[in-house]
Amino acid sequence: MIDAEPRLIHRHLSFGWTLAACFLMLGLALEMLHGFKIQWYLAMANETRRLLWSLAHAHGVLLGLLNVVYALSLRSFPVRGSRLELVSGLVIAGSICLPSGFLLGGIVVHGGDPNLFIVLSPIGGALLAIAMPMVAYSFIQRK
Amino acid sequence: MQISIEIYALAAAALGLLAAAALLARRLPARLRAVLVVGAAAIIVVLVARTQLRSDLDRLQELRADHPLQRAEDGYASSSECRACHTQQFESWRASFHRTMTQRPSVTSVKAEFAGSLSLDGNRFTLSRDGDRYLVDMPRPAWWNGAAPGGRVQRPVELVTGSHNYQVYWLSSGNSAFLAQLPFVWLVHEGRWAPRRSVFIAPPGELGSDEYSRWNAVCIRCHTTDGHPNLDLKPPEVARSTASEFGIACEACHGPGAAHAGAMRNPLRRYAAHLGMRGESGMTNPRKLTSERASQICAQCHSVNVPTNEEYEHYLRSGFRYRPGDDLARTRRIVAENGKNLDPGYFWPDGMVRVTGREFHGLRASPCFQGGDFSCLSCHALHKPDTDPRPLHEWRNAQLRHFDERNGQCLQCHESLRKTEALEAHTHHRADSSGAECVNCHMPNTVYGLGKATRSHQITNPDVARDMAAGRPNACNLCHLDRTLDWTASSMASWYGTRRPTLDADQRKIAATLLYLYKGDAGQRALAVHSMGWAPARAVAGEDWLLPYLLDAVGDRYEAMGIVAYRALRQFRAARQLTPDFLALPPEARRAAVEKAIGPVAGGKLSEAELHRLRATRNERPILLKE
Repeated sequence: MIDAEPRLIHRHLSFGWTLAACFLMLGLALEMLHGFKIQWYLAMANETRRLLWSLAHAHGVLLGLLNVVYALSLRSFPVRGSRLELVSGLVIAGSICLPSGFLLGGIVVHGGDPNLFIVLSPIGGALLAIAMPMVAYSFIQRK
Repeated sequence: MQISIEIYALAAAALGLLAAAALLARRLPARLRAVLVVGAAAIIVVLVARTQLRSDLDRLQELRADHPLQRAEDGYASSSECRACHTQQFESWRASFHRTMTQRPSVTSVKAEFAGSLSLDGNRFTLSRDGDRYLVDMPRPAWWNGAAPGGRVQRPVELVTGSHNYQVYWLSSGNSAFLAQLPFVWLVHEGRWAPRRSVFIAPPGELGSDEYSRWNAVCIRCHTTDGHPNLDLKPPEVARSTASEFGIACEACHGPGAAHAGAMRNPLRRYAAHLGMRGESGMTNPRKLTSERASQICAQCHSVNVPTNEEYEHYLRSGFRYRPGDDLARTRRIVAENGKNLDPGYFWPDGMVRVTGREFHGLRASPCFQGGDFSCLSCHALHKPDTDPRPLHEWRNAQLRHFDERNGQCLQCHESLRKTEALEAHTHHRADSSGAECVNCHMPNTVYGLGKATRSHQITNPDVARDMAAGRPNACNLCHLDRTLDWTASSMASWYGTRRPTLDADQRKIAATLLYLYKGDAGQRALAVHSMGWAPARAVAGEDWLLPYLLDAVGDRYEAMGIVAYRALRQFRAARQLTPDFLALPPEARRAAVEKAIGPVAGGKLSEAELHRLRATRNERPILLKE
C-alpha cells in the first residue's frame, strides 16, 4: 500500500507543465510557418504533415494539462493503492508517446501516410486507455 | 457501387439492436425484446429497400438525364480516390488545364460573363445566370424538337470545355444526353465573346452555327477520362453518354485505379509499399514504360488516329478498350506522317503536323525519338517536380521538366552546347539572343491552333528548300521578318552548306513574311500574322513597318485571321488600347473599326501597286485546319 506521496504530485506537476510548455512552443512554431507561408508546411501536398503537427500540438498541450489536473487531484483527494506508481508511469508514458508519434510521424511523409514513428501514437493512446480507467477506479474506491 | 457511411451506420445499428436483444434476453421483459428484434428487422428491411431504390434511382437518372453523366465504371475510381495518398501529384494535376478540359458549369468553372445579349447573323442570344444554372435564350435552333413560343428557346448550359485559351459551352438539346454547342466561345485572355466560327481557320461559310451531338460522339473521346458515348444511332437517336470522370484525370495516364485504391486502403499494404517490400502496384507508371509506349499514352489524344472498325463499334457503345501501357497501334491506326494522301487539315504536304494537339507525329518523326530513349516525358513533366519553385499557375503553361536553364530540355543530351563558344559557333547568333534558343530554329512556330501559332514538335534543322516545297514558313524568316528567302538561303548555305533552292524574283527581293501574308493560303497567312506580333521577331526586325500589313490582315476573308491579327496588334504600342469587339463585325467592316480605334497608320515597305500585284496572285485554295 503506497500513499499518494508528494513525490508523485511533484512528478506530474513538473512533467505536465513541461509538456504543455513544449507543445505550446510547437503551436507558436506552427503559427510562424503559417505567418511566413512556408510551403513545406502549407502546400496542399503537405496536408498530412499539417494535420499531424496540429494533432501533436493539440494533444501535447491537453495531455500536459491532464497531468497537472491529475497531480492536483492527487493532492486534493489523496488516494491509496498498490498500483499508483504503475498508473503514474502509464499516464506519463502515454502522454509522451501519443503527441510524439504525431510530431515525429509528420517530419517525413509518404504521400498521405506518416512515417513509422506514427506507431508511437496508438501505443500512447493504448497506454492512456489503460491508465484512465485505473485512475477513475482509484478515485471511485476512495473513502 | 460506392457504399455510403450511412449504410454502414444502419447495418451497425441493426446488429447492435440484435446483440442487445440476445445479451439481455433474460433480463428484459418479453415485450421489450420483441421491440428490439422488430426494430432490427425494420432497419434491415430499410437497408435492403434503400440499396435497391438507390440502384433504381441511378438507372432512372441515367434514362432521364438530359446531359452526360459522371460515373466511375470499368474499374475506374476517379481522382478523388487518388488524392488521399498522392496529394502532391493531385495538387499539380488539379492546377493543370487537363483537369479543366470538361467541367460542369459553376461559378468557378465558367469563365464567361453570362449576362446581356450576343448577336450573330442577325440572331440574338440572351445569356443569364441563376446560381449555378447558366441559361441561353436563343432563336429556335435546327436541333430543337420541342415547343418554341415566339420562335425562341431557352436551354441550360450542361458542360464547359476548356479554360486556358477559350471556353466552349454545351447546351442541353432536349434529346436524351445529346449536347448542342453555343455558337460563341469565350476568349479567356481577352475576356470577350467571339463567334465560334471566328476562331477556327475554315473557308468562309463552312462552319455553321447549329453544332449538335459532336460532344457525345467526338469530344468525349479525349476531353473526359474513360468516356462512353453510349449512342444508339437508330431513329430516334438516343445518347446515354457517361464518363468515369470529366476532364483528363489521373486514370487517363495511369489506368483504372479502383482495384489499386481498394487494396491500398489496407495500411499494412501501404507501409509495405513505402518500405519497398511490395512489387507491382497494379497501376501504370509512364516513366517505367519504353519511350514509345509512354508516348502512346499521350498519343491516344495527341495524334491523328483512327480506331479499327471493331474498336469504333465498341467505342460508340462503351468507350475505348485501350489502357495506358497497352500498344495503342493494336486498336487504332496512328496515321503515318510519311504516308500518302495525308489530310491537309492536319498535315503539311511533307507530313509535318500543322495543327495543335497532334504532337505525337512530330515527336515520332524527330531524330531524337529514333534513338529510343526520347519521349514526351523527356521534356514535359505532368506533375510539378519538388525542385521547381515556380507557382502552379506558371508551371502549368508548358509543364516543362527543365525550367531553370535556357535550352534546358535540349542540353540534357546536347551537353556540348552548354558552353557559350560552342553555342555561338553552332548557332551563328549571340549566346544571349533569341537566335541561340534551340527551339526557335529547331521547333519553329509552324503549327496553328487556338487562334495563334505554336511550336512544331518535329525537331528539324532549318532548310529553306524543304520548307518552300511544303509551303511552310521557315524558322529563320519567322524571326527575321524583314529578310528575303534569298537572304536566308544564302546564310544557311554559307553556315551549314544547306542546299539552295531555286528562287523567283519576288523571293529574291521581297521579305518572305510579306510573301506569305499576301500570296499565301490562309494557313500560311495566319503563321505570318502571328510572327508579326511575336516579341523576338519584333525585336529583331523592328516593328513600326509591320503595322500597315497587320491592318490588311484584320480584314482577311477568313474570319479567324481577325483574332490572330488582334493578338499581334496588341503587342504594338500604337494598338495597346485596342479591344477585340471588332471581331463581332464581318471581315469587310473590321479594318475601318480598327483604324478608328488606333488612329492613322503609315509606313510599310511595299508600294500599293506592288501589294495589289501580290494580292492578285494569292493562293485561294480552301483551307480547313482541324485543330
